[in-house]
Amino acid sequence: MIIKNSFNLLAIVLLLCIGQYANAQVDRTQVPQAGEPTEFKMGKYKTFTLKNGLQVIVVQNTKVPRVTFQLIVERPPIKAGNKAGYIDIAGQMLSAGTKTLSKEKFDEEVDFLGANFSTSSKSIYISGLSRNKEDMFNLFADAIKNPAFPAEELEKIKTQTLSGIKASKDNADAISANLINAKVYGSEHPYGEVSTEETIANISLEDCKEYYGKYFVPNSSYLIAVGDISKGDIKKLAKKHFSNWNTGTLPQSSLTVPIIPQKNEVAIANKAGAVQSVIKIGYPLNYKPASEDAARLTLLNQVLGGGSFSARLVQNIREDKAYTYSAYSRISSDEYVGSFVAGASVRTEVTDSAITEFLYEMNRLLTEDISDEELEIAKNNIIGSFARSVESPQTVARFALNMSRYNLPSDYYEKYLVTIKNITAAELREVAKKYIKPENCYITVVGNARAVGKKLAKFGTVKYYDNYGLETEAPKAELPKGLTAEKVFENYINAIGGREKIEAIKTFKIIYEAKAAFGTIEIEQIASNNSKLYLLVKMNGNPVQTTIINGDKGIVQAMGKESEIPKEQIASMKFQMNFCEELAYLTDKTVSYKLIGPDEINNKDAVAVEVDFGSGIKSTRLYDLKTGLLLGIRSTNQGVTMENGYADYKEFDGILVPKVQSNSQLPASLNLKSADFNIKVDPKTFKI
Amino acid sequence: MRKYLILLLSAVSLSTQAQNKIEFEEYDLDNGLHVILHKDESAPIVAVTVMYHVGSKNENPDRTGFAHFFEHLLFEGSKNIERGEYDNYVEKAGGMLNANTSMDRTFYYEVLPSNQLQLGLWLESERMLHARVDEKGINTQKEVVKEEKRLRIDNRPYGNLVGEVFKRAYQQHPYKWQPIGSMDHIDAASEEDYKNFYKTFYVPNNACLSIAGDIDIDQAKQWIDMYFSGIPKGGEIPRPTIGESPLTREIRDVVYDNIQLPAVVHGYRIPEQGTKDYYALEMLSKVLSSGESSRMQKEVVNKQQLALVVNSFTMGLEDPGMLINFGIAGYGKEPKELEASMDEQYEKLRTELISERELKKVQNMVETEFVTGFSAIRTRAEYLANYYMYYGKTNLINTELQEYMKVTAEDIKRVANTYLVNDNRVSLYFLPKTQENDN
Repeated sequence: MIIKNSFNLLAIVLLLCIGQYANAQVDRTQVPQAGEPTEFKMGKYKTFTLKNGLQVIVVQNTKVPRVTFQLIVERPPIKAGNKAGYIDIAGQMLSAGTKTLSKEKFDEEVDFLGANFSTSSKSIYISGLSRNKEDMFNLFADAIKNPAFPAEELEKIKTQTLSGIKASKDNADAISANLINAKVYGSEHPYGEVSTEETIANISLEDCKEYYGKYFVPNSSYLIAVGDISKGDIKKLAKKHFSNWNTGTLPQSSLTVPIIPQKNEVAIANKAGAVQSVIKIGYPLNYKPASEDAARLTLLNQVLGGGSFSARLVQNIREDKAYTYSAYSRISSDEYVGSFVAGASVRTEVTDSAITEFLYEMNRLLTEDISDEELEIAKNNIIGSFARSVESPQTVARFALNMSRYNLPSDYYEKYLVTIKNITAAELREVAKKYIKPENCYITVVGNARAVGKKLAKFGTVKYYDNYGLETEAPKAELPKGLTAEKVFENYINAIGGREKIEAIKTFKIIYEAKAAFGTIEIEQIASNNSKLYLLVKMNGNPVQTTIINGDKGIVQAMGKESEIPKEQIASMKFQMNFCEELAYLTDKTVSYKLIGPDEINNKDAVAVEVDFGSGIKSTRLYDLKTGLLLGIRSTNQGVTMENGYADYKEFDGILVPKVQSNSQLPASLNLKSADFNIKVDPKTFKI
Repeated sequence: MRKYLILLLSAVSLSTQAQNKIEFEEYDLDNGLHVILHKDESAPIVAVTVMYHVGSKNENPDRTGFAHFFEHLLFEGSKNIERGEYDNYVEKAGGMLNANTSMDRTFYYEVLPSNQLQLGLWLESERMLHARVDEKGINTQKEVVKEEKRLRIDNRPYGNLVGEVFKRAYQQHPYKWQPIGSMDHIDAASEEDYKNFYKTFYVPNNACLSIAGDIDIDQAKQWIDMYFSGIPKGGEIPRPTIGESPLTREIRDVVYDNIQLPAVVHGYRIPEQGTKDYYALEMLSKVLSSGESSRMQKEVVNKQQLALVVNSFTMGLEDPGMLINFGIAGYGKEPKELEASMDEQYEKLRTELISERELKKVQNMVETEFVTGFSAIRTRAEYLANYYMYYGKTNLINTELQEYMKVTAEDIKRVANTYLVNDNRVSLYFLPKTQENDN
C-alpha cells in the first residue's frame, strides 16, 4: 500500500538531519516542510455475486484478528403514515430471536463469543474475533433468514419505544432532529415522518413481517465481510448459508417532492428549562450521490463548516464570537432528496446573533471568492482525511459498496482526489450559487421559545412546533407556583402604592385626552367615597356624553337625551367609582373571579384574571407578570371584543397612574392630562 | 545529549491470546521526556501525541476546571505560532488534531500524513516549550468552555449523572469535582494562575511523547532530539496526596433534572485501576450489563421491563475511583421497583458464584475489546502512553489482557461482597423537575 522512498534518498535525508543534530540548534521559526508525499492508494477489496443476486464485498485486513459481517438491504424510502416508526421496529425485531433460537438463547450465544450483534431496518451486523467466524456467521445467517417475530417481543419493543419517546421530550437534539426533518422534507415525505405515541401504538406484528418479506431479498442486498478473512472463506460461508435464499421483487414507492421555501421561515420548538438553543438551518436539495458537482460541494462544505477547526463557521461562531462549542454544515447527497443543514448549540441569549452569522457565512460564499490559502487548507483537509479514513478497512468496504451502488469506475476515488486538487475558487462560487440558499432556509431552533421567539421574527415568519415537528401555539409564560387571583390583585394593589394609600383616597379626578384626526377627545372621571361616579366625554371641548352613577342608580345623557342604565350594567360599571377596582373585588360579594392563566399583551408576559359581574357580564384583566401592574382589560359586548391597554405608569402622591391608555375602538391613545386625589367635589356633580 | 534507554522487549509468548503483539521502543530524554515509538505501516499516516500527567485532580479547589480550560488555551499558539495558526498548520498538512482532559491526565494529538511527522513534532514542542495566549484567546475560550458545559452537561438529560455521584462520594479528594469544573472559577483565573500551571505541569518530565504510525524510527529519533531535547526540565511535580476515607454508610439523595423518566444511580467506591480487585470489578460490571444476555439487561430491561436502559461501568482512575450502575426507568415505572430489581442482581453476585460459562463469556468479551480497541493507530499511541504514565509498564498493552484472564468466579464474588455493598455506595434518584414541589 505504501510507496517507499528509494533507499538512497532516505540516506541523504538522514545525513541532513544528522547535520542539524550536530549543531543542536534548531531554528524554531522555520515551519518544517513535508517529506516526500506518499501516494494515496485505496485499500484492496474483492467482490463476487451469488446466483440469487446477493452481491458480496470482502476487504481482507489482518492487522487485528477481528472480522465483521454485514448485510445491507437496498430499498427506496417508505412512507409509514399513521404507523410511523414501524420500519425501525421491524428492524429491531430481527434481533428478537429466530425460528430455532429464542431471543434469550440467541443473545447468550452472541455474548458468549464476545461478539457484537445488531440489526436495523436496513442492515444486520455482527463482529468479533476471527477465530469464531464460523459460529458468528451461523448466527448472522440465522437472523437474516429465519427471524421468528415473537408477539411478546414486539410488545416489549413498543413499550420501550414509547418510553424512549417520553424520554426524548427533554432531549433538545432529538427534538431538533424531528423538527429539521419535518421542515426540510415535509411530514408527507418518508424522511420527514416522526414517530409519536399514537403511530407506535398502531404497529402490528403483520407490519413487521410484511416489511421483512418484501425487502429482505438477496437480489437487492449486499453482504460485506471485513477484517481477518479471505475471499475463499467468505465464499464458502456465503454459499453454504445463502444459496437457498430466494429472490424477490422490490416494490417501488412514489414520493412527494420536498419544497424549498420561497423566503426564510423560522420554526421554533420549545424546550422548558433549556440553557442553549439547538439551531439547524436547512433546505432540501436535488443532489444525487457521485453527481458531477460532488467534489466541488464537498470542498465548498469543507470551507464553510465541514468538520475542521479552520472552517468558517467554527472560526466565526466559536473562535471569534464564542457563541458555541462547535458549529458545522453538511451538504448531503441522496438518491431521492439531498439536503443542506448547518447548525450549532448556542447559549440562549445569542441565538439570533448566531443565526445572523450563519446566514452571513452562507452569503459570503456567493459574494466573495475563497482565498488561495483557505482553499489549500480545505483541499488538504479532504485529502488528508481520505488518507486517514482508509486506515479502517470499514471505509474501504464503504467505498466499494458505493462503487457498486452507483456504478462508479474502479478509479473513482483516486480520480476524485485529483479533481479536488484542481478545483478553483471561481468554480466554487458557481457551485455555491446553485446550492447555497441563504434566503430559502428553514431556520429551526429548539430552546427557550419565549426567550428567543420575538428576536427571530427578523429572519422570517415565526411558527411554533411541538416535539414531533407538528405546528402548535406559541408557548406562554410560566406562572409562579401557587399564584391565585387574590394574589394577583394583592400584587397589583402593592404595585400601585399599597392598600393603605389607596384606602386613603376619598375622591379623585382623572382626565385623559386623545388627539385624533377628527378632533380632540377628553374623558373626565370623578368619583367620591367609592359610591359615586361621574364620567364626562368631551369632543373638541363640547360635552357629548355624561354618565352618572350614584348608589345603585345610574343615567346616561347623550345628544340631549337621558336614559337609565339597566341594573345588570350598573353591577359592573359601579366599580369605576373605586380608584382601585381590585380592592373592591376582594370584598364585594356580588363579583366572582378566577385565574385564567398566562397571556400576553403588547409584547409583555401577563397573567389573566376573569371577573364575573353576574348576568353574563364578564371581563378579563391582564396583569404584568414582572411588575404586577394592570396592562389591559378585555371584554366582549354583543360579540364585539374590546381591549383597553394601560401603560407608562407614573407616580402621583405615591400612587401609580397609567399615563397612556389605549382602546381598541379609539383611533388614538389617551394620554393622562391630570390626576388629583382628595379634592373637593361639588356634591351636585353626582346628582341624578 | 540523549540517553537511549531502548527496552528491547523480549517476546512474551501468549499462545492463548488472539491479540497481535504491538512492538514499540521507548526511552527518556535528559530532560525527563519519555518517548514511545510504534511503527505501523498499514496506512501512510502518523499519530503524534503528547500526554501530560495533569488533570482536574491537580487543580486548586478554588480553580476547578482549570486543567481542561488550559487545554483549550494551548491551541491558541506559541512564540512562533500566531493565534489561530496552530490548527491551520495541521489542517493545511491534511491532518487532524484535538485534545481531551480527564481527572488524571491531558492528552493532545495530531494525526498527519506520515510525511508530516516533523511538523507534528515541531507543533508539540512549541506547545511544550513556549505556548502563548493573548487576552482575546483567553476571553474567547472562557465562553467556549461555558458552551461546552451547557452542551455536555446542563442541556443534556442526565448530563451530570457522574458529577452528582462523585461530589457525594468524595469529601476530600479532588475527584469530588469534574474536569469541566466551575465556570466562576474559570472566570476568576488570573495571569498568575496560567503561568504557574504551565510552569509546573507542562514540562518534559511530566509528559510522554507517544508516536505511532508509518515512521522511520531513526529519523523520528533525530527529529525528537532536535525539537524536544532543548526544552528545560521542570521541577518536582506536585501530586495530590489526599487520602479519602471509605464510605461507612449509604449516602442517599434525590436530584431534580430536566428529564421525563426517573433514573436510579448507584455509585460504589472502588480501588484504583490496575489492582487485582479493579480487574475483578471490571469483569463484574460486564456480568451486569455487557451484552443483551448480561444480567441487568436480561432481567431488569427485557424480562421485568422496569428500565429503558441499564448500564454498569467502572471509572478506572489513578487514585481509587468508582463503579457506577444506573437504570433509566421505563415509562410509568417507579424508581423504587427499579432499584429493588437492581439490588436483587447485586445480591446474587454477593451470594452465588457465577458459572464457568458466564466467566468464559466475559473473558471473551474483554478479549474482543482489547483487539478492537487497538486497531486504530491513534488509540495505540494513546494506550501506550497510558500504560507508561499510570503504571510505568508500557508493555501492559500486550499483557494486560492476562490480568483480566486471571480473575476467577471467586474473585468476582469476593469483590461483590467487599465493594458492591450498600454501605459503600451513593444512591441517587434522578427525578423530573416537575416533581420537585410535590415532594
